[in-house]
Amino acid sequence: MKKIRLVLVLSLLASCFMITSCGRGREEVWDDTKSCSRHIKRGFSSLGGKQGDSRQVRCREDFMSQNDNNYGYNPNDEFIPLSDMDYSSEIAMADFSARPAKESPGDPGSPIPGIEAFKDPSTMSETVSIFHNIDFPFDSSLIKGIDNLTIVSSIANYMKKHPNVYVFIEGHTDERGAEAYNLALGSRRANAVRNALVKEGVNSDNVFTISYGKERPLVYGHDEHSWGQNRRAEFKIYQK
Amino acid sequence: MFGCKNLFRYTILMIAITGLSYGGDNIVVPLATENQLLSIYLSSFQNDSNHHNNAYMARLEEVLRFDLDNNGLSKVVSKDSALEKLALRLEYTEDHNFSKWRNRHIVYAIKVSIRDKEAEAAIVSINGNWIKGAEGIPLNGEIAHDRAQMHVLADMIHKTLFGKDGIAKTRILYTVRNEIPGKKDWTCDIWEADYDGRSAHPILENVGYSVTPQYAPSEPGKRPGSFMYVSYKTGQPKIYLSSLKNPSPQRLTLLRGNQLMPTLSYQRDKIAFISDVTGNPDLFLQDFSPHEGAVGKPRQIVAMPQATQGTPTFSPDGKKIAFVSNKDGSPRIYVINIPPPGSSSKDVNVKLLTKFRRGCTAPAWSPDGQKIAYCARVDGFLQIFVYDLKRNTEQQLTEGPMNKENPAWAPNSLHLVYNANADKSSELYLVNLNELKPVKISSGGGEKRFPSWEPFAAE
Repeated sequence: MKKIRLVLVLSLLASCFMITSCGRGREEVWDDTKSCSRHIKRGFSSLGGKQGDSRQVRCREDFMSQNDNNYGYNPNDEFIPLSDMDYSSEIAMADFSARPAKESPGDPGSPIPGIEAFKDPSTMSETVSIFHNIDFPFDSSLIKGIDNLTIVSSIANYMKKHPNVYVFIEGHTDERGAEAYNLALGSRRANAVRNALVKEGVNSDNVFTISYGKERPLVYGHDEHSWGQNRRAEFKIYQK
Repeated sequence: MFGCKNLFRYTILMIAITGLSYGGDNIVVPLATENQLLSIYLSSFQNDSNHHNNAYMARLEEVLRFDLDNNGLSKVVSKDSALEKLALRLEYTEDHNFSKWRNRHIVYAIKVSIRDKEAEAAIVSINGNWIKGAEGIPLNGEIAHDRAQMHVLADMIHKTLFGKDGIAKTRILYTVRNEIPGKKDWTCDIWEADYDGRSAHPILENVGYSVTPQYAPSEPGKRPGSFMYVSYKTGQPKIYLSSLKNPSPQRLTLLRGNQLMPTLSYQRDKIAFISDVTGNPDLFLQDFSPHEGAVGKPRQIVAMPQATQGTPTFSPDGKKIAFVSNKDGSPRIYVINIPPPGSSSKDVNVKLLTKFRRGCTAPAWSPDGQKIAYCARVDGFLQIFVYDLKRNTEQQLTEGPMNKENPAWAPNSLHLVYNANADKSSELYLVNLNELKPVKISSGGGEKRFPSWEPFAAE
């Protein structure tokens, strides 16, 4: 008797949860599931004493910067960060973010010219096979897949051999998000590629980012194939 | 056994009821909340002048008719031959037959006459036992000038009828994007037009790809004379300030990295914007002086390294900012109290505003401080919503295909302008909270986007 009642109550609860879920679309359920798992992960991390993300350090070079010039800059010269956001030390931070380049291309007094001096590397024989576009999953700035990582390595190798080459990384999105929001999302993609290059040893002073959002689509289609091509990081280079 | 049977039946009944509630399309309950608009009759302009022909008069009449018909408070009744005859003799005397007006539920009748080079209007209250005039509206025969004068007349009538400033004189700033033929490249320039989309003209051209222009609130007693925008002139998007009358763009700050979506507080003492100088698009605040420009260094006020932040908008009192973040998955609107200098990220209480909708972006705080407009995805398309901050409710203003984005409030906190996009086209639309009937106001080539509505002159 008690078992039957317990089964009925549990069935009732399960049904209520399922039917509530049916009131939302599939994308909404997936979106809420991702949000929920994100919060659960943070909660468990806090229980374990982790107040922020961490990553495994594999060797001495991972712990200490390979090139001290790329880390440990003082942002207070330029802006005032929130008091607990320490951008002066990048040691062992999982959320690695390379410091901005010293110069701002095209600005008054900058030795680096503006975008008009940068060229499409696919138009130059030396670089056509190196600077391929990097693609991204929907609403994400993660660099995934062996092809994309190989492109990052190739570009990094080229730039380490050519320290007088400067690169603009353009972050693009597909057409589906809002125009204004996508301008900011493009920035995350461009910076993700920049961070990856700097981690591979490229001088951060040679790498700049532009966020274009969905302002410059590569193709005009309205299908996943077209959207996938438009979610990309693209490159322009300048040789001093 | 009997108890178990009842419990089982009850369970099935609850499941059935819940399933009926959620199993199909959302249930829409229309509420009879649409405000009643006052019926107005506008008779044909009387042309007592030799300076303008009837066709020209008809064009001016069309301007006034649009203004009175789209102010969100009145509706212009269609022309009627019987009422036209009455209007010729329209005076508030005992002889006049007002019953015909009343039968049509017309509350006000407006008669416009053109004498010499001036327009004047008589406003008759059908039930109110008064007649008032609006005089001395100069016309010079140039359509752009005289259209503007009709807007002035419309606002005078609006003030007489409703006791509030009208929006007919106000203007809209926006961008026009065009693809360069033969190249995979585009231009995007800044244009300005009357609020009805007419008299559109470029303000800034060939100064680099420009986006998100915004009027700067004005000095007391003056109309806005300057605006901000973002340009890709040097490659990275940077914020510029410029004058409307004599455009001469000046960089706001030499901060490195990308800077996007600037907005100036109503007090004209702060600019909020998005910057990725830290490597992530976060929210920054820059102290500002209208005479000196940027004051001191910008300071970071929201830092969420795992998320994308965007589109800040100030509350009218300048103490809060609403913005977009995808920190919890899908982009949503959040509100913060502006933290004082020296704050840490833990001091910043980020409060979620849009709990139900997903893909919420482009928030715009109304000038009266009571509402926030934004766009959110519904059945695959972005629609315009308004969040009522007092009642904590949201209202969907638009529907149907096309993505509607970038809502901007009129200074009366009643109207909104936004752009609606489909494929390679984008046009501007007007909508007001009392009618919910969008009106297309833009025309011509190019994609019109990122509208900003001119605020009233500060008091």
